[in-house]
Amino acid sequence: MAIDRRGHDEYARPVRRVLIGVLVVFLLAIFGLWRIDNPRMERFRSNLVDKVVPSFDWALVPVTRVSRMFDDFQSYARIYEQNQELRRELQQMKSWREAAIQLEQENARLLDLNKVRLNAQLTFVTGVVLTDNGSPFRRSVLLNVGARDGIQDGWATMDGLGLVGRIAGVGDKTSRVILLTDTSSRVPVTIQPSGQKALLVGDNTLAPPVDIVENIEDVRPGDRVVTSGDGKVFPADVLVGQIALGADRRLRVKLAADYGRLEFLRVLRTPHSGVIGESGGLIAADEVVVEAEPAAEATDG
Amino acid sequence: MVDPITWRRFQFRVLFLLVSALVIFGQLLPLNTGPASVQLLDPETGELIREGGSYLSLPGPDLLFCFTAAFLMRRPRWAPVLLIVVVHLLADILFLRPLGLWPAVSIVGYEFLRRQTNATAEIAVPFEVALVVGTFAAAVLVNGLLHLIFAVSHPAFGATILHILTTAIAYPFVIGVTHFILRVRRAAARELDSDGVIG
Repeated sequence: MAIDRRGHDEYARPVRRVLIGVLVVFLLAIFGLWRIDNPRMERFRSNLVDKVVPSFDWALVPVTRVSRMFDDFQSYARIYEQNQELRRELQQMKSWREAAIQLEQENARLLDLNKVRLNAQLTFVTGVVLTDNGSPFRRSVLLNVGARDGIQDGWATMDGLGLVGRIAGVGDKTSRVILLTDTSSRVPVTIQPSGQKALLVGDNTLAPPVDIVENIEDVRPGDRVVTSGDGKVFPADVLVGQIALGADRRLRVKLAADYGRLEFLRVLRTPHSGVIGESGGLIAADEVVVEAEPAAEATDG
Repeated sequence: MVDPITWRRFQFRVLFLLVSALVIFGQLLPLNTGPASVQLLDPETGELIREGGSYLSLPGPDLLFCFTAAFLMRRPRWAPVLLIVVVHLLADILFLRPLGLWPAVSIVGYEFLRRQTNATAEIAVPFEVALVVGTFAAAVLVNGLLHLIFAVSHPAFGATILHILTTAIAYPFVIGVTHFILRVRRAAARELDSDGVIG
């Protein structure tokens, strides 16, 4: 092999090695900066994503559409089976529909009697999923709505049925949704009907486990799980899913949202949700902060 | 007039950028948002039900690494360090990974591979696969270790091993694509340029 056999390469090689070392140090410095000043770097990231991804919009949408059509086509193979299944479900649904209509009428009557006004602040913005995040280990998607649509960090996101995730990172035209299944996702939930508080912890599977349940005996598979609104980040009473028992006998939540097909997502406008502006910041309810201060003084004194 | 070797080198660097952009773009498509399937117990019968089994639950191969390595092992000059760093930083930003860590670790791996191309004249494909996959595994493990040290959340060890395995399976196909479709092949002796360096 005749590479690098000339005299000057004896100097070029060590110089090259030093330059590569400098490059590696530079990259590690970026990493350090990211670790130390995370919110600023994440803002930079969401700005860049905001610039780059919408310009691919023309290509992203058709490719996604075509491959989904292909998926649908594959499912024709099982069409008979599905048809039977749907028939059975329809039968069950009919009885539920009857019950729902009756309840709706009753509810309307009762609301009318009480003159209840529903919370008008809970409106939503609907966005289209542009991309997911490429990495096989993180679970998040990018929506085509952003700061110009009034989206803010921390708002809850649903598909038609249940909670999907939380906004984390807002650009001008795009925003990122961390899904409930992501390993960094933690959502306070309430388990109905027992009213137990728990924490939904994402673990990269379709049915994330619930943690810190106060009284495990009161919780049964099939119980409804809704957000509790603790911590004042999420609105309360958004449906998350149903309790199920994992193969390891751990309590898990079967999510109501259809994670296989995330296409349109609703972002719930949540007024007064807390914002983390810098690293080390906390979102805490006011009373907690007030309580914490005298306690800190007491330990000082 | 630009001399033909420089011109061709430039063309293939652009090709490298295009392939990288395509790989990143492909991974960004929202096709596989369904997470890994999980086994649940049926509350009535107590039997195991597989939930979400229709989704592909394996972590996909790191195609960006595969293509970069395949370019490097054939024509080291066509995948210069700075280009690799820029592409990997962009991937970091778009893929929501910690910024700069994976480029820093993988650059060391790439430079190791680059040196292997200088050391021996001809590398057989099985040996090349072993070399690249071994480097990838080492880089991924170091990356995971650094995640641990700096207390950045990181996927489970099992998922990482699966990731290495899928990459190992994908690499021979990537070699096929670079060789037959992109036509990036090792230089023959007559293709050496005026410096005696592979063009």
